[in-house]
Amino acid sequence: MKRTVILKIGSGIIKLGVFSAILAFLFLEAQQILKLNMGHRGTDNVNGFYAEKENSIEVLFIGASTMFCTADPLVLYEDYGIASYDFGSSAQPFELSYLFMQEALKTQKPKVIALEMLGIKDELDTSKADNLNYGLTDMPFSKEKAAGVYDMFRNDKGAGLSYLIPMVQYKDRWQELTKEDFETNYVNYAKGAYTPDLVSENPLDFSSYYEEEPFEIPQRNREIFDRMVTLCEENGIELLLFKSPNVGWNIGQTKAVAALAEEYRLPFIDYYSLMEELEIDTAQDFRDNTHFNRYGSKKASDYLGKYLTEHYELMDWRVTDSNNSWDLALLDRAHDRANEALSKTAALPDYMSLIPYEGHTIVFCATGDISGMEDFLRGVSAAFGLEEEKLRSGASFAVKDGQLVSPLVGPGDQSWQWEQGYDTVKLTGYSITYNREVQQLVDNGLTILVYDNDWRQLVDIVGFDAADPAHGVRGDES
Amino acid sequence: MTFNSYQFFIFLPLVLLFYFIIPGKWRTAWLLLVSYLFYFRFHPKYVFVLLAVTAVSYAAGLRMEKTTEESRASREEGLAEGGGKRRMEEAARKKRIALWTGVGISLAVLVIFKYTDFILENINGVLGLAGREPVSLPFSLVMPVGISYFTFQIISYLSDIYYGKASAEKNFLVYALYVSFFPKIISGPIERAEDFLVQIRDCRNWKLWDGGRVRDGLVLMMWGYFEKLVIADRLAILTEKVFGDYASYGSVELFIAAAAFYIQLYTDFDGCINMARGMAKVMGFTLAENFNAPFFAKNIRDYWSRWHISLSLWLRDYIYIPLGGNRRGTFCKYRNLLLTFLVSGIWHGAAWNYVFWGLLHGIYEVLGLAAAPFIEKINNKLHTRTQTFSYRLMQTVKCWLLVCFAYIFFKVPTAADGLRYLKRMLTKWNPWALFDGSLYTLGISEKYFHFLIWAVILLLLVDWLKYKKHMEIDEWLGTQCIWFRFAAMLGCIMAVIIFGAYGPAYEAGNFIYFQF
Repeated sequence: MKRTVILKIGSGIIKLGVFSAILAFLFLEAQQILKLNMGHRGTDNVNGFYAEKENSIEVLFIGASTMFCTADPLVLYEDYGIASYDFGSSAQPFELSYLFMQEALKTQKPKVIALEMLGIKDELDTSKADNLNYGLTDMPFSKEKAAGVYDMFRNDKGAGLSYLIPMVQYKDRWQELTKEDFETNYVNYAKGAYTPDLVSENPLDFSSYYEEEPFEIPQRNREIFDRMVTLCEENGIELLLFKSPNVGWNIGQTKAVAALAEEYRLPFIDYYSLMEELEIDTAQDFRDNTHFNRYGSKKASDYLGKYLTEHYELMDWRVTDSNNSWDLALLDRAHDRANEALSKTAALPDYMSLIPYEGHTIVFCATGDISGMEDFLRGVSAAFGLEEEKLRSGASFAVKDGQLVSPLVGPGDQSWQWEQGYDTVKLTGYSITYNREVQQLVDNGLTILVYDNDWRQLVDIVGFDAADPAHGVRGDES
Repeated sequence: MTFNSYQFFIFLPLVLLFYFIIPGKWRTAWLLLVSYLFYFRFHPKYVFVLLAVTAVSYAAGLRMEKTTEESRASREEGLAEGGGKRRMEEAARKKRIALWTGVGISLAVLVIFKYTDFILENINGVLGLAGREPVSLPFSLVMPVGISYFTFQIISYLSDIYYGKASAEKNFLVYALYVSFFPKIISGPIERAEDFLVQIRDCRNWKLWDGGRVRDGLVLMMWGYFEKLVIADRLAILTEKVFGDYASYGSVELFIAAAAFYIQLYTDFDGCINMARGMAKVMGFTLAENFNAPFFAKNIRDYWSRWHISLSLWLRDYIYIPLGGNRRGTFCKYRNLLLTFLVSGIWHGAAWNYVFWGLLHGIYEVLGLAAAPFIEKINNKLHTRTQTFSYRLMQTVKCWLLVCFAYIFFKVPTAADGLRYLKRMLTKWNPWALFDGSLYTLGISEKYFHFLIWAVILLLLVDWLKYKKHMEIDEWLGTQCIWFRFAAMLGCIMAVIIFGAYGPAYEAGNFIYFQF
């Protein structure tokens, strides 16, 4: 072959290679940005799972939201030394639970898999796209995922493609992209759990639970369950079943699961039968009809912790240095809860005492007539060496890590601006502007903005009226 | 399996892979096999319809060729022996019979599948007026896709053999592929034997791999997908919404929907043709150009020389000219024009609105021709500068409006709906709809609306390239530096991926011209 021909072919291959590589890069980047961002703190348990260190999890929880609102890995770690993770997704169909098990075993060797059984009652409904998206969107492409999706969409393979290539269903999101879509944080500091401090408006009514209706586990789900048992046996994993309480489930279904557990000689924790023993309060321990809140989850997790330590040979990970991600997670939770407490505090004196100066930037803006806030004036003037008189007549200032970082900006003074990443805070003698929006919550009083420098996010903006500093005003409340 | 279906994205690479690696002598058979497989995926049983009309026209072609040879032999004998005129006449008669058998059967199949419902509907209308019971078929007929295209192609083939412009194809596989070649079977272009049959005969000897040609073919396909998925299918959301409930909208929305439909129709059809021409080009075939910047046409005659060119030429050669063309005086010329456009209308669809649309174009053309001398006189009197850009622009805008109005009848279900739409568009004047956000409630979000405006500007730029420089996008890109080419191709692919109307939220949009 002539040299020129070889060179021509070689150049063609290089061009094609470069073109394909750029196209692949652009496609994957665009897909990453466009796909629905599940990563608001606490529920990004799929990405979070893949960010976990290999072979670092001894107890793996799998199932729907009833699972990750019940088992709290941080409680299990802090109080029992158990290294666990909630690898689930909202409204997870049973077929997806099996895929999650397969995925988990690629990077982890858990001793126990605890399966929440809500999903077993319903057959897969592929028309409920969200139920699949929560679990599949962030799951990387693999032959198991392809096989699982193929199996789920055996009657409509074209529809299944959009779960394997998220771009197909999320491309229209280009119209609603925000800064958050361009940020990626794969670590899930809650270890997959979601236990907010919310309480259901009304006490839960479980009376219908005892209205037994004939129930038979769908055949397809029995087959899936059989596969799960086989998978666990093949990998030397103990399978534990549990069912957390939710309105809509009934005793007939519990009995069917109990019978299944017996058939396969598996342990089954039935939280309905434990409600009295665990002193679960239907008025205080749930955030809605289906999920425990922080308090209910704590009770349920305590029971799980005891059960797991009593029945399985698990290591106490608190005494090792090999795994400190749970310690970091606990710190993160403490940080999160401090921020949360602050954003729920209404009275100015309490607020001032809770302000976490370390790692935060605090901006104060006194506007109008602030007589009546003498304690505040005296306190900050003394702490940061500010002119009390100037502050009294209306001024702004910023404090970072407990140190004054801005001048005292009064009316007529030149404004002062502070930036953190893409967030900007501008101070004038009359107001605070956060990301180009003026934040003036009270006409006569004090506005405080708290920004978390470590997490690069706004924690709170609250206004205290000079006439009523005991009742802070936030956002649209004003 | 349409060009924008998932299955096609598996089908085409496999077809191309084998096409490039198998020996040349198998290429025709391979392409024929995959063309029939492609057709089979639409409606399995209509493969037999395709096969039957192919076989009949193939036999008719051979028969005509044979009678031509007999006639030639008779002529030579007659010259030698002083007799044979009778045998020549006999041969001519046989040739006519073969022609009309082939054409008649092909047309009959077309009429049965495409026009039976329309004919019955009209018969029942008349029977209803006479108070008689309606008649119906004991079975339902589904029109095989592409039937109008391959029927017209068969007619042109037979006609060309009859008039000695082409010779009959002896190899059935070659002829069958000429009729069924998968890139063009469903939406054309309507290929002539003299152009396309020759390529199929030769393809076994081609040296296939030419990186530049393959790249150009892929660029053409990519542009086709851009037109279809990014523009046409997105505009379809708006046009379906407005045309589906036109009585609820005012002039502004109705006008925008009419304009959007014209753009949709063009990008849908041109997109399909570019995909077909692109994939054919990758394989080494050249399909006829079907569009030549129709948005820049300055009058209706010019428009028809730029829109669906293969059909326009077919109608000219096999309807207008046989009717006498413009050789028998002005009246006959106008009559022939009207009849030709009538056939065009009926070809497009079995409904009165298509007939009306066709006639409207015929009337446009007749009026245009009739008024031309008067307009010229007026222009001369007023010393109008007809060579200026502004005059050309006004002509183009006028043509655009006329075509838009006519397409209203193309889109609505009945001619009466078309008239009502037009009336509403001209009387329910609501200019505030341009400013109060109403435009963003027509099924396309504000951001997509703005994006579409940019996409249409890009479309006009690409067409302007064709109009001014006679270059298609693939040719033009081929002349640019590699980095620009890369950027343009990557941008276009990413635009199709991100902005295309596909996926679970959309129904896979069929190509509008499939139904014809």
